[in-house]
Amino acid sequence: MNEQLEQVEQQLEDMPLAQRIGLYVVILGCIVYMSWNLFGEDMSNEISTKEETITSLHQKLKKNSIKSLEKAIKKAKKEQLKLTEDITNLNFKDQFIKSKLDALGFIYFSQKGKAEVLDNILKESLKNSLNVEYIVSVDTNIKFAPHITQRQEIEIQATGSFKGILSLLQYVDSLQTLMQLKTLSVYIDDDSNTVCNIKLIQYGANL
Amino acid sequence: MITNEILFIVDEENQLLFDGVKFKEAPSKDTKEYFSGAVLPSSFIKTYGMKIPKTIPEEKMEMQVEMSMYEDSGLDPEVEYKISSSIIELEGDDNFVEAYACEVSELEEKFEKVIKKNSHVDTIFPAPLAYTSLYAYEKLEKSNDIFIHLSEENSYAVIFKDGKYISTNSIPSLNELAKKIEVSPSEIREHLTTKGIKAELYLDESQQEVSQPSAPKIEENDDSYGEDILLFKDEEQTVGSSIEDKLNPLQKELLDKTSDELSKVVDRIARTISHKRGVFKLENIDNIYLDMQTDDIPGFLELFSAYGYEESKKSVLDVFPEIQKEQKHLAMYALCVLANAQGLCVVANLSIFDRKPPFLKTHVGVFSMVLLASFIVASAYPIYGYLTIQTLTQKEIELKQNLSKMEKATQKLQLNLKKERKIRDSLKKDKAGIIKEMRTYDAMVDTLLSLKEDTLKHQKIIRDIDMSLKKYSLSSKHLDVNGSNGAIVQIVTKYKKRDDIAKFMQELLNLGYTTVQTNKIEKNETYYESFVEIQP
Repeated sequence: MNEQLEQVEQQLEDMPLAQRIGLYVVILGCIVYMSWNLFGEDMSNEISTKEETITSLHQKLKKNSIKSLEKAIKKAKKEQLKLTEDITNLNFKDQFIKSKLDALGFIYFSQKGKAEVLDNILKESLKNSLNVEYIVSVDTNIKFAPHITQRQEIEIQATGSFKGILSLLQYVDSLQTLMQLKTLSVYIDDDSNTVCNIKLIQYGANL
Repeated sequence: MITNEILFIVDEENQLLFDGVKFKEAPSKDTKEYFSGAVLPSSFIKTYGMKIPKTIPEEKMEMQVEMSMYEDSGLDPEVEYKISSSIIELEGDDNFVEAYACEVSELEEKFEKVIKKNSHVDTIFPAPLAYTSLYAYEKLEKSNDIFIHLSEENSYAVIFKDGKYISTNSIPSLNELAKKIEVSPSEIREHLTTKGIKAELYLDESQQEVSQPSAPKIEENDDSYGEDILLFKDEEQTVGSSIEDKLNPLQKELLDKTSDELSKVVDRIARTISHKRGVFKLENIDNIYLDMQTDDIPGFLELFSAYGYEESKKSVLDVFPEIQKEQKHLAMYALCVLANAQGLCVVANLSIFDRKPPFLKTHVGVFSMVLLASFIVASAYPIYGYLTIQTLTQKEIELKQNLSKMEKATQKLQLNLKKERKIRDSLKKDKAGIIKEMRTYDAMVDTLLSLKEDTLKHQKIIRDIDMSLKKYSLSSKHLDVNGSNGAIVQIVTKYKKRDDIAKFMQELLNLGYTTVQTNKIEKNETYYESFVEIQP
């Protein structure tokens, strides 16, 4: 080993200064070049990739704003409170209307009420000296308006005085029930009798 | 490197620091900082002297010395030698070069343990050259001197001219003398220093009491000192003879042998001086020093007088008064190392164990540094890159964790929002339902009112028609009431009262009916028939 080192020493000693400096520069260059090729380039690329990744992550973090979500949640909750308040008020009003409507018992239809109506019409016809030829009731279930359904159609044919017919009609109008005069036809038949044909529609509310 | 003190290496165990005055123990570590030196005994060295023209350049001279050493002094060409030389300047065109050669293997063997400990020895010089330092440090005046060193292993005589080294002459060591004189080697030093070649010193105490020799009478003669010596010698011989007679045979034999051997030593030195006299133009010898640990050999130096050195000053060498007797000669060696370190005198250096220059000052060192620097420069970016990647990875992980947390939180919030919006929408729907219901109630009420109104309307229509018919005395044959929408009346009247139909219609118009009209009036024999249509 020592002999080899001495040989190297001697070779360097024998070498001209410029050549020796050149050798050192070449060695330096070669080692730096090798290092760059072996490690530097890959590391440089890796650093660039990492920096890009970090920039991307920063951007994602900036975009992914929790504050905006929290703000949206807050807004939604605020809206909920307002809606709850509105609903409470509306419910109150709704209940108020319902209770008012409930108080109007005549608006509801029942089979019992239906029979009473027919019976009362017959009674009133007799009372007004009307000869009821027929009274026909047909059940229906046709939606007429919100919460109001057409429940039956009543057709009455009777003979009597015009006055009696008007009285019967007034009586029908005065009944505490949802009743509508559909048609009224009064005429004198061949026997000079005053005949009336009354078509009524009864409705029922359903809340 | 420290040069005000040197490290003198006796052997691997015995190493001393010397500052020019006294020794002190060398530190166990960090001795590399000191200039170090050792002495090589003459037995290891082959010496050869030659004349070389002054005009030869130094490099060529070294080659020539080396060639001469191999060709003329009989060095073995198969053996590797360390060769060094000293130039002794001569008058004229030539210089005298004394070259020294030592086998490298012997040097390596001798200094193997030392090198293991010290790694280098700056100078290894032939022992006789050490006296040069005495002049360098002016411990002696520059003159023509002879130093005779006697020791158990290695003895020599060294000749100086005007303080400059000229020559060395090997002489028998004490052990060799002991053998020749037939004295035990352990006793030879004491024998020589106590008795020398003085016959009276060989006498026992009993013999001395019997014979008290009278002091020799010397007649001084300024004109011829040599004659005086002769006179002195004659006297001494006279006295000596008388004393020698008192010596027993054994004592006499020992004296004779000692005198013979020491005379041979002196003779050998004298011959060398005579030989060098011509070459170096050595005219006289000023001082003859005996270097034997400050011991003297009685009568020894006086033997030089017989060779014409009567005027030479003869003395025992002692230039290190502060150093103990046993180390005085070592001190001279150490002084020579110190002189070398300080550049005061340079003697032949046979060291093959050169101090290696600092690693970074060598080309290999510079080359290594360039390599190291290259690797540092080359690894700078990878290190930076590695650290950056680590940092970025950490950051990426943190961001991903944050994003994941945020996504979870967002997901949760989105679910909450969805839930809250669902509740809100449900409430809206409820509200709308209630409003709708209330509207239906309104519509219902309107219907109820409408039914009531219809009742009133058709009642009014019937009543108005009835009253109007009565008013104008009209008869109706047929009355059709269509709820509250109106009615059709078939009126029958006499011809003369036919105008009343119009009046009847006018009456109804006056009562507020919008439409009262007749499409048909028929004359039927004696009366008229008219169909009047009435609409509210």
